Amino acid sequence: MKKNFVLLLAGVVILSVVAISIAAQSGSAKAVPRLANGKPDFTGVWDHPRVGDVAKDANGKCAGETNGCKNTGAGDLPFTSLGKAENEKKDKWDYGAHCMPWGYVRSYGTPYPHAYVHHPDRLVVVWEQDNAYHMIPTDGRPLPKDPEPTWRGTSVGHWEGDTLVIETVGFNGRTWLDTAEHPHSDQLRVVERMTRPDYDHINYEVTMEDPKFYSKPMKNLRTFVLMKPGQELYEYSCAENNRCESGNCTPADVQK
Amino acid sequence: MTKKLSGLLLFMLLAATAAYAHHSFAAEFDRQKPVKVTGKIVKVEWMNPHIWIYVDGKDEVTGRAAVWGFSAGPPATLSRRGINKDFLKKGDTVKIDGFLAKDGSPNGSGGTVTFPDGRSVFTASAEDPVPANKK
Repeated sequence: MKKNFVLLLAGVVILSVVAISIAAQSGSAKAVPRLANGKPDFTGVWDHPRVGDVAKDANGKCAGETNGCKNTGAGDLPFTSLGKAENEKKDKWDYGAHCMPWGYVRSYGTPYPHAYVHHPDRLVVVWEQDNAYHMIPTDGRPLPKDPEPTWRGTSVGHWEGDTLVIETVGFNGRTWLDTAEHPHSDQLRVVERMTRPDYDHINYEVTMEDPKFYSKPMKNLRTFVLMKPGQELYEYSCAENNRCESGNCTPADVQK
Repeated sequence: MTKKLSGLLLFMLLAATAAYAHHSFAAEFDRQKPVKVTGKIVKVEWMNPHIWIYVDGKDEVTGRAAVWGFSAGPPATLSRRGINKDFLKKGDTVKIDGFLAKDGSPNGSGGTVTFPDGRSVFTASAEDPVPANKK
């Protein structure tokens, strides 16, 4: 009788261990996918925190309504005198409201999600905002010495273990870091460090260096959350019905 | 019906956390000039970067009657909340609380839409000013 009880107990323990290990393999405990070169694969539709101001924290709801996004902001921004003057300019022209490209840093803070398409030799970023894309070669090429200035800059990436490190330079200086209108110059250098600690999350660290406008580098630490299967990026066409540009509204047909 | 109700509930729950900021609010609208327009919807433009709702009615703040245009959230954000292009219908009577366009034309940011049965939804961004009666 005692022997039977011990056997029964052992059976229950074994079954419990099996059940727990099966549960652990489902849901968010899924393994992080890998590229053909063995590095983490970031491919997917990702929700990011809405960062309207790089100085501030953001927690909770993501831009595309997913839960669990975060940003640890940079705190007080260390303006140089030139940067301070630029920041305090009156009536700044909101290029975004005129359907110009949002720029590299600001694109990641938009109220819409983004996606990655990842290959061993490159990472492709696709932002829903403006339906914009950005190519990041990871094939070992160096950053060009003096790239043509562009809205989203020129990037290269390399791996440090399982961390993808992306450096971006060559900005045209016409964009802002965020919707709070924090300026940057053409000297901006952005370094991003990305890891995928589990199936559903990306840890994203962005460092912004701009010696012309800021006396020291500024950092944001963000959490991106994988969107649910079936959730995709939407079409976005800024110029479609941009009715009140610069505060001057065009009458609609029903108002004429 | 249940689907419609749950969609509305979802809308109400999530609307306060909505975030659209294609423009900076201050560039286009005046937070010192609230408008409260009641009237019938004559048209809805389900378009980027923001949907527009046109209401033929009167502003109770100034008494001004016009076909008022209100800028609300973008289609993508509303769709993710379960709100589709059929949510606001031509002919529906609504009250919209918002803020006047800076150019003084009969346009505004659509802060809150209230239906005659009392249903009320916040249609602007969490970053935009909230009409006083909703604070």
